Amino acid sequence: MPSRKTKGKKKSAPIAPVPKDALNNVKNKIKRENLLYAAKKAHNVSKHKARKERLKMEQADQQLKEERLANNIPTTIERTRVYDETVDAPIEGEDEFEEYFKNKRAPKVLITTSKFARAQAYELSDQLINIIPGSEFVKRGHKFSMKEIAKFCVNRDYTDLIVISEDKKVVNGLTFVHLPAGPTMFFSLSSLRMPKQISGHGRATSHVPELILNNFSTRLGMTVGRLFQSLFPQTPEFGGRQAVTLHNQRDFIFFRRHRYLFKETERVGLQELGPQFTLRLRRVQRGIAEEMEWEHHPEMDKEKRKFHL
Amino acid sequence: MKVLVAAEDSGSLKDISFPFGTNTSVQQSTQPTITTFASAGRSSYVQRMLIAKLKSGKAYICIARKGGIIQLYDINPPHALFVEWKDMMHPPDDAFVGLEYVEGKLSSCTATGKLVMRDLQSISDSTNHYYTLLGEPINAFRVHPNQPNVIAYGGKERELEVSVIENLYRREPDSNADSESDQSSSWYIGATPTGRSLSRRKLWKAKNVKNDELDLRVPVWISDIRFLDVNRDSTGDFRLVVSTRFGHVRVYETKYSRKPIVNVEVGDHPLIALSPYTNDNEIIYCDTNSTTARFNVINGRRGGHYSGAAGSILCLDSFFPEQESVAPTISTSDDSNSRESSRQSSIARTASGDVPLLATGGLDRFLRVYNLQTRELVAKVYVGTKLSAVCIIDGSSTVPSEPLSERESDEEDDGVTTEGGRKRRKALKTEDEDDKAGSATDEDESKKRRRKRVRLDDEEASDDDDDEDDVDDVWNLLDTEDDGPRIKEEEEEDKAASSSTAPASAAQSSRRRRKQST
Repeated sequence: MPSRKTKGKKKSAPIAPVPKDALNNVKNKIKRENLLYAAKKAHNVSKHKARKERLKMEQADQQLKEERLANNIPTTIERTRVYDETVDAPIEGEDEFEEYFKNKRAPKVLITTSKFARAQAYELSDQLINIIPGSEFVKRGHKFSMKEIAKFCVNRDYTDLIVISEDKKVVNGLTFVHLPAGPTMFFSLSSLRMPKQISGHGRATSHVPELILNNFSTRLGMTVGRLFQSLFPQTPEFGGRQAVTLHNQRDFIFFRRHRYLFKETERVGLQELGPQFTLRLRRVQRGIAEEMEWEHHPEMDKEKRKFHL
Repeated sequence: MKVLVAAEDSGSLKDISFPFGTNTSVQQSTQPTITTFASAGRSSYVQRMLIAKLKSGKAYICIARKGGIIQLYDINPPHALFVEWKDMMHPPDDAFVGLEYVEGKLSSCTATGKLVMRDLQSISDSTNHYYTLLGEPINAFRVHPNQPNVIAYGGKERELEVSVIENLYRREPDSNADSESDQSSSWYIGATPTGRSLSRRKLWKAKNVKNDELDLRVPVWISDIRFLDVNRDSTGDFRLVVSTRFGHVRVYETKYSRKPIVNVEVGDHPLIALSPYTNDNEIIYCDTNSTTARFNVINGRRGGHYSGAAGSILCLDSFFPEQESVAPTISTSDDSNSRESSRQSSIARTASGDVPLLATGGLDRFLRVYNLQTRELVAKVYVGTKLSAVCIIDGSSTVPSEPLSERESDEEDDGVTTEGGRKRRKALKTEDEDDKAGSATDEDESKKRRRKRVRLDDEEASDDDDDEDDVDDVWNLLDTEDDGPRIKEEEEEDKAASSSTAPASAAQSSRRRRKQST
């Protein structure tokens, strides 16, 4: 259908798209196809020509490019986000992470799995030990509940507890318990890729990484950001040139780890160290899994432009 | 309207005033004015808060902070600190579980069971507080709204108990009471041979419910208590409703039984707090999973939800326009005066557009105000911190235009709850109202009628005869042995009512059926 093929043209295209009616009047199918092909090609050529001209003009006059970039703001879903009064609102008072931020309490993290975990959970726990400095893994027995484990951790001065949940041999969630007084956050985990699945991956060193937290803007998002922040020591070892990124986009949190390389003075190269995974916040509870502070409901996904983090 | 909230994160109080229809989530909507005061940090946040109106005409914000501090603030801006009491706390993480103000007595109770009663009529007297130890642990504490010497408490593995403070005498105003003694209360705490301790006598103690279907003991963990039917004549028997951390709502009738007469598991999640409804047949509860709903204590049915909260609700406050800070109740006694007044006030309420309200606050950092009866969201305000206590000061639909101080003093000049005072207050409020609010209430009324909700106390005359039977419905049935003649009387009344007036409700007819069978 010619009409379908003409769809998707940019509004800013230099020439008008192929006129539909003109093609519809051509009865011969092969002819119609040829005409359409020719028209498309012409359109394409003119577009590229216009771009080249623009480039030339912009190289001559830098201001033109700046103007164009300033004016050409595409309407993305993020930009048309539903108004949220908590975005970038100042944090009032103190929260449970005060101990880490004010008193510079060094993090001490315990990592364990759900009961009867299988291989993948242990592989991920290996990775997490690597990523989070000063973390330890303890194999999960079947005797104690998470609340009890959290209590034992408090007695042993741990600041955080991470539990990797696994179901049917697949890791599907991460629980973070900030100690001693919460909060508890549960994230669902998806799209897990181990380093060996990432082509050209590097080998991580034991340096304290730099932490990049992107787009945690609402009050809830700030709490989540502060939780991740409190897992890592406050001063990174820049010599390691390693960075851990938690990038929030439309309430999906993407985890990546890179090493940056200075090949030349202008640009920086990135080498991915892995693993990669995506987190989605499902639940925030006060204390050690007590009152619900926030919970994800499927109805929340109805509104595509409402984001909670 | 004007609401006072306690911020948990900063330990401060916030005075929020806004008109009905405020929603901070809508960028264009009117924004509330928030004044923060009394900051003390998270380490001593406000655990309980209430408004105490003294008989001398002054009103204070009473707050109980973490760490054993009780403070009184002036209710009018700039909210000056009036008095502070600091009790030693053992252990230091002890928490206040109750703060009550009844007839001049401010009672506070901590989780370890230390009950302190202070006489607010003689604040400057340093020896005006009296204490007793109720024993550990206590999670809920209430004072009877009409009898300041009757207390109810319970906790984790601690059954509900009702006690009376014996050395709380009724006497003529004491000559020693100073400063505000002119109109001071006729209640006073008598000096006792034991010094400054209160002597307590146990009136009644609940018994645990029967074992469950697996013959396992049902654990006890009371989270909140409310007295129902507070205007009844006899002073010795009470009706109490209790919420538990295991999701139960239980109703006790002390005269009838030590076990609950209604015991319903309303949900899987622990219940946090209870709040009174416009009538005694229903109660508002909230749980740890962002549910706030109504519960009918007569038939044990769950009512509608007050929806919208994203996180757990920690504090509730009901507001009734005709009797501020006191839950209006259907009187079971044959008190024609009170009935008359309630009828009048219900009419006045419709005219002025004042509606009963419910304010909720909790972990999602929003203050929400609902219409108590229609459950509509009236206002939603982002506060910025978790809320640990909430109190509606002014329930009018507009922002209080004149300084609150004037209105307050005006009110108190009239005396506490005289008819004239109430009328004048109504008149004041009607002036404030705009057309919009009036139409809103009309809608409310019509909706209410559409839903055919039967037992609302502001439905007028036709229901008035039934009031008594409604409340006593279940209990009368249960009391058959003791109370034969009384029921007969009511049956006659009932018949008369059904023949003469109004469509008989389903509840009524079912009751009649049951009565006939007995």
